[in-house]
Amino acid sequence: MGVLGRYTLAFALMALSLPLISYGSTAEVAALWAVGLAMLTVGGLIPPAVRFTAADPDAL
Amino acid sequence: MDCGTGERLGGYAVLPVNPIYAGLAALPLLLLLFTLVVLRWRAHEAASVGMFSAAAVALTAYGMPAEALSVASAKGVWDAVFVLYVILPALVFYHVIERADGFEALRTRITAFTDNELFLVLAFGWVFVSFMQSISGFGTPIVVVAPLLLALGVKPVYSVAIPLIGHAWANTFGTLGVAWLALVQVTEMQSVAVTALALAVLLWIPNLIAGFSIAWIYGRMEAVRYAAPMILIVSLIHGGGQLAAVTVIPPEFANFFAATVGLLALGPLAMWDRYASATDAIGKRLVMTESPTPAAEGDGTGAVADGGVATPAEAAEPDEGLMSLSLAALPFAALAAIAFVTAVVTPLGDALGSLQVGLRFPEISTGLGVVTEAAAPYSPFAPLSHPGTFLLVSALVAFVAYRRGGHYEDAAARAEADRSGFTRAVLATAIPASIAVISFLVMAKLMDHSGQVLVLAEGTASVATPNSYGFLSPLIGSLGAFMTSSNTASNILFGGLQQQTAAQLGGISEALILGGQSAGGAIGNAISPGNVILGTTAAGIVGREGDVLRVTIPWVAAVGALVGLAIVLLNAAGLLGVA
Repeated sequence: MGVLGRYTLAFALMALSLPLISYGSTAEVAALWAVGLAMLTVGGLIPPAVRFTAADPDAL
Repeated sequence: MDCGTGERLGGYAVLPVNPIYAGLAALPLLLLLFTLVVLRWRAHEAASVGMFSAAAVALTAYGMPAEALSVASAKGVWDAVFVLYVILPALVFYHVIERADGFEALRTRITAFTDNELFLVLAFGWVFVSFMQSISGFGTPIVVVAPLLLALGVKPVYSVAIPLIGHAWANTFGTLGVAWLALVQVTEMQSVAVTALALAVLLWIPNLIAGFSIAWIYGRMEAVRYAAPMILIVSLIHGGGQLAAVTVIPPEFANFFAATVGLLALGPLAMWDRYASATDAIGKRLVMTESPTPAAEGDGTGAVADGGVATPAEAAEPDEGLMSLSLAALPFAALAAIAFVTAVVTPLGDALGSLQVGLRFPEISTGLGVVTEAAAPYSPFAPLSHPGTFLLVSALVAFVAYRRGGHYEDAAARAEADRSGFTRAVLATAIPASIAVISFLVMAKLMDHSGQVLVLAEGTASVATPNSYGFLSPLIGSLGAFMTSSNTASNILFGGLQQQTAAQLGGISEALILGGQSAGGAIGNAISPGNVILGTTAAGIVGREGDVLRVTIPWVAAVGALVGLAIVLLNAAGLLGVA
């Protein structure tokens, strides 16, 4: 997966965490908000990971 | 936000305001600045550091449970929607114009009126960007003006930094007064009229300094001396006009009035012999991509190393195949017209704003007693009345007009190389910028809902005297704008706190403190990550946010100090409602 693909995955994970956390927390379904938080965490970790792992982080 | 259960102080939870907790609260901000400015990480990389450090501090020191952490984080993601819905349309707007050579046409046609570079840099980077801010916020002015400066031949980093500096003063009463209305809403002012007056006085300072700063950045003292008459005239119209307007018309329209008159004044100024043609009175042209005079070459006085792809002024000679000025200006005129009409025709604005979407979030609390009420829905989003929609409609107008005129075919024929796909060109810039915006706003929301923001603000107030607090109040406003990328959000976040602190301290004018808060919030827009990212996105230099901040951070610090000093002096002089 290229750099743009990895960033797109990060963005998608962050965006999809939103409905999971909203519904999970208001409906008190802990598994949902926990998954949402995990997705947000993974999405947030991708950009620094790309910086240190991609051959050319600017290759968008 | 409603904080506090159990013991409360002035509506806020009693938090451990001490150097350890204040230091921990400052840690995410310090790490963010360190990675951005010192290590020169790209914004979307550095923002993650800020986000995770804010989460770590919230979890470990501020007693925030995991569920509360997830809710606060999701609110940050939701807040980002408001900004992302400007970024993507702004990129579409930009590429629709750029692929028809619209920016090249604007540069070529406008320089036919005057080829005085400094005049044009000030006209776009100070006067036009202020007009844009008067009708449309959310970073749109930066997105629009940065490519225009780039087309004039301004170096990419400066094409972002200059409008950031130039538009800051117009934030509070700009966007038809959204930030001002927020301040009125969150505080119970002793006198709305006196506060508006104090704000208008204080906002004149960043306006005047912006004009001189842009000239100084362009060519140091020679440029300042050369541009001084223009700067003084325009600032009299901008700052003086806004000050006069708040006394006779609703403050929400004061900036639009002043910025419009300022824009109209450019015509007569361009006809003045002093600015009607190029000048050789300025040896150093530090912000321009080309150096026609030996004095400007390699003198070591250039500021930041630059990146990105610029458009040198000599790159394209006037081309008869380019579109006319009126056609090139059409998307900007359409944007201004849509924003103005929807703002002043209240039934239309209300109808467009009636379609709202939002998500529900439950009440959350932390171990330190900071409670945030449930929201159903939280901060509803009205897409039809949002600037993103205005940008998309304006882009559609431009696309239809340019396509009917055959300008896309003409531009493709002139291009030396094939251009990459439209969608990929937009996404390659939009995705990293969007990640950064989300991370920044998650960080801000975590700091807010965990109580870190309150500890920072109350910590500042606890060691202050009336004079030192007056001096520091713009700094708090700027901090809010830096964290939220919004003067409005800064006023909502800190307006009440500043008012309470002023009342507790005594001996300081409430109007001046609230003025300091909002003026600081306005100035802080020059360093707000959201605005900086929008600018680097539009200028094609995503990843160079640290370089832009190296220009704007000293400006914000200096102007914030001047505004603080003005508050102390005005308070000592007994003006504007001193207690």
